[in-house]
Amino acid sequence: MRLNFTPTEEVATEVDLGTSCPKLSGQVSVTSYTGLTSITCVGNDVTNFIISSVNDDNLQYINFASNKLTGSVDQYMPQNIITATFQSNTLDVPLANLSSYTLLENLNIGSNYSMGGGIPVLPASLKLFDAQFCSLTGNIPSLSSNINLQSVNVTSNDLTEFSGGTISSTVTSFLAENNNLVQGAVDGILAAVNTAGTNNGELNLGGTNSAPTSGSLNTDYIALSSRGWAVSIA
Amino acid sequence: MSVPLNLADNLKIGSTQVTAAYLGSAQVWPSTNHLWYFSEPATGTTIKGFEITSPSDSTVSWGDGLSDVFSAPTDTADHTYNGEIRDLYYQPSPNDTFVYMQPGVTCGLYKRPGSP
Repeated sequence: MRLNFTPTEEVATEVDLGTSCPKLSGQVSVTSYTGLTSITCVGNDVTNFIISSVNDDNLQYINFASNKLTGSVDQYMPQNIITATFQSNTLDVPLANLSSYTLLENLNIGSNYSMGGGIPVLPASLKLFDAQFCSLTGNIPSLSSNINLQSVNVTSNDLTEFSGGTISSTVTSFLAENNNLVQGAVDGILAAVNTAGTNNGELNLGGTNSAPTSGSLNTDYIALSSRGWAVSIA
Repeated sequence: MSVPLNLADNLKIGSTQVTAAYLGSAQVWPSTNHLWYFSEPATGTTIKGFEITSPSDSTVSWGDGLSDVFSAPTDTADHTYNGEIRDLYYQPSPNDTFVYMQPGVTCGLYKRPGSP
């Protein structure tokens, strides 16, 4: 015997749960809201956000900044997500392969201090990637396929290498200071950004990273500076 | 012997109303279309900037006996809990969209089936 249950029809398209004070915790579930395109829940102490396949088509904007979500970020992202903001949570599982999120343009997971792990290959659709203060290790992956990328912020992690390849001319901000990038990685990023030929961007490879070959006489560093880039090196 | 079959929105054991039905550990009735589940808020807890965008008007029942009407297409409200929390039993009007917040239980939003 099966008890069939027909969910009620949902009509709301956007919901902002507001900000509570003192902060309310608990869990948010949108598994019945098939028409929902946007949900915002900022500055609460929510510990779980539940989605399902019913949200894959329409839910494209999620902002859960400053809550207490745990686990992996992809468990909170429906298939057609465009903008995902999960900064300042307590995500504690490394980034999974994100290549299936073919519409993803903005991913902000900064200040999830216990995330760890490496940076996977990022979707080609991505424009903004912010993963500062996430305890990331390993390589900055090749960004050659990220032809729409505009801004990268991986400041204050424990990244050591750059996998090489080109960086799109759409990139105007690349922030990776206070990692442990070796000289070859710093050289590679400087060269890739310089080769892209863009003017007037921001490139920060300073702090705890290695200095580039030849320091402030590095030819890529000089070339970028002459084209209006604000470049910081160790 | 035939067994009386009740509608899924009116489950009973004999004449006793059933308040929830589970399939395994999953609650299948009432609808688990909860939006926000949180523990009973402390007196003075405030939610600021609760906003709904919907093609039809909505009613927010905050779970403490108070409610606000949210006008279509977009409306915003704040709410402060006064410490007199009590269970919420609400009967939605046929054509309304509801957000409900039941401290300790649910906060949800839905439209009744069959309504425009």
